[in-house]
Amino acid sequence: MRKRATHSFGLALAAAISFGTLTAPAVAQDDAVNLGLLVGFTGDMGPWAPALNNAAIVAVEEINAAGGILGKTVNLISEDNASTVEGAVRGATKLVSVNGVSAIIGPESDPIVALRGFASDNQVPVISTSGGTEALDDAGGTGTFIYRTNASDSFLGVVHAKMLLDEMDQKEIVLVVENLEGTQSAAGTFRDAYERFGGTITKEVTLAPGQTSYLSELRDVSSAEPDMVFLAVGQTTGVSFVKQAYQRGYDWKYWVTSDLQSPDFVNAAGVEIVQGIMNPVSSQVEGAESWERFSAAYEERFGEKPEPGFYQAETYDAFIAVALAMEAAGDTSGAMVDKNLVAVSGPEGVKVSSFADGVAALRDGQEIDYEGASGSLDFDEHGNVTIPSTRLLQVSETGEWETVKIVDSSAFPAN
Amino acid sequence: MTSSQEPTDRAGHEMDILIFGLISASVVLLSTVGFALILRTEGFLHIAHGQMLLLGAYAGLLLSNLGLHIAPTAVGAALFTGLVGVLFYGVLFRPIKTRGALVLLFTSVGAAYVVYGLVGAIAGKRMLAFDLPPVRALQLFGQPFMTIYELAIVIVAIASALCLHLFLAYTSPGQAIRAVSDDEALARVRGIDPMRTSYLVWFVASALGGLAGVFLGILGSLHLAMGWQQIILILATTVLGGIGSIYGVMLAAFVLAFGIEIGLLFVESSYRSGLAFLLIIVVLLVKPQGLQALWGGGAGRTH
Repeated sequence: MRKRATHSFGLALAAAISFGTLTAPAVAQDDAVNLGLLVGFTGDMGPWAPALNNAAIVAVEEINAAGGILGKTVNLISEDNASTVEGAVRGATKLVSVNGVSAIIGPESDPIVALRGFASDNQVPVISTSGGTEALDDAGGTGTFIYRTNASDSFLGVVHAKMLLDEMDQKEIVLVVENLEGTQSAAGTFRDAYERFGGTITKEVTLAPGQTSYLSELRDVSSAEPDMVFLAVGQTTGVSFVKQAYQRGYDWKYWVTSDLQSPDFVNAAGVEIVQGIMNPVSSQVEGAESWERFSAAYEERFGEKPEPGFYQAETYDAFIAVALAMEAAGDTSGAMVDKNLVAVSGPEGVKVSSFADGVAALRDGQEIDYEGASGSLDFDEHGNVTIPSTRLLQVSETGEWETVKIVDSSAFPAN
Repeated sequence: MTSSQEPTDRAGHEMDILIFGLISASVVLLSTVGFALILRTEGFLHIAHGQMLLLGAYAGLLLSNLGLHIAPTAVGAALFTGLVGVLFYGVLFRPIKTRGALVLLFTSVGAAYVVYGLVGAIAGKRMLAFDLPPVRALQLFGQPFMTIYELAIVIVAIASALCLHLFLAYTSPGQAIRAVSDDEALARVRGIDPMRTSYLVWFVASALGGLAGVFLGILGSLHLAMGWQQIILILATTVLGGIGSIYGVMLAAFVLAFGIEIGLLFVESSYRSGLAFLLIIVVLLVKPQGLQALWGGGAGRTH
């Protein structure tokens, strides 16, 4: 199955690349800069995508209010990738060949892995703001056109393991994982870290995606008599699994990855079934200036605060960093963004936390270090970042994801 | 992993396989039988049938959100989907029926995208669910048996397959449907109105699809990809049963579901889809006409 998919994807990619390079120069405009947001407005990313889009709007409006990039107006072009590999290739091709974007921001794990060749062939940086896959741990950086502003699963795996062992005193767990790139990656990094720090995975069960019933799998899980189940699964599968477990009388405690941390999951499965489910998310340190600035701007624009774990700050930061890289280069091409992105992100240079401050410092001839709303945003040589603190969320009796604890994760090992 | 069960657990396990297989088979049966009916009578692959499941599920959600109980909701959604099926036939498929199976197939693919797009535009792109109170499975001999919803889907699926059989075999509209599908010209000569039987087929087939959609929504959740996900399973079941054979498809639903449940005793559950296709390949290697070849079906059929 996977092989077939890869093959047809390869053909699509080949077509996409030839098409893209033929048409891209014809549509590029001189008076405006186009930036693409490519996320899954449909599919597994659906619950978060509108929030990411809002974050992108906040960033672009802020840049335009400060006079645009090198005096040019920035246009945001949002495109759906259906949370799939095929959708990512189709959407990226459209963004590059029709809209002539200088950078593509947003693709999740499976989509950005699929766009690796596309990015360097088209000289368009692709920046994930929510993709945790281990495949990006050493795939990105200057010259590859691949970056991400969220923490890798290898770091999140450590966070999951540390939180379970140190904060929850949970020494044994059953691991349930859906057979997808993103969830397999999350489960793999968790398994490594949990076992390394002394935890025991008593059983591991893999779920095939898109099934109507998971009754055999449930039975398999129950044979290990788990106290707690670690769920690394997508939304629709997650709903079926917890619903059917409840129906069979299995009242396990659940620890989930960010894939399930949405109000949609709670609504679809039912509050009574999912209350008490826990999920740790990486977040900016409480009270950091850059986070407060972003949070206030977001609330003013949309009438609600950005949510922890929704990758809004990560998306906002990606747009601001790209804009600053263009300012630093004096050029709005994708190639120049790739050359300058690491430099403007720090850690060397004058610390700036907004686009306007960054531009001012650059015009003074200074080097800058953009401090993001999501964290310090210092890209390493592979285009990765780390996150300073972790927030433990739990579904309350009324079905809200509530913060029950904030833990300093800056001392956790990076992977 | 799955094969390491305790011996004392064995009897319970066999019971579970029966129950799990029955539930899976019923979902597949209800999804596929309408598709098979259209394939048998109209002679083309009605790809948009998957979207009829989607339409049924979302129509059901609309009714349920208006405060209707889940049973009348399911019936209402089925009737609505049936009428949409009739509309599709009248507006889309009847006028181009003479152009051949490929034109019909492509039209159906187009119709599938239209339904998919409309449902997405109206209902939104996020995952939804029926607002039903959480239920526990009913107990049988001290063991969890099935939830009331799972029991309902098993009963409805088997009843609709049985009714379809009785309808085709013993009623005059049913015989008319079979006559038209076997030889339309001859049926016309014998005084059967092919158009009227076709409308009936489209109504029944689409209504069953809509009903399947509601049940899928109840078992899991409602999401826009459900129609596309299900049509692949429907196509696989149809191929296994033997293209154009309704009884073959009914048997295929059970063979597929129980084959997978039994297979999961020996391989890991991540190979669910692999098991299904392995089963289909083996059957087609032995009997290229599909399961219908067991009773000599498909031998002289051209579509």
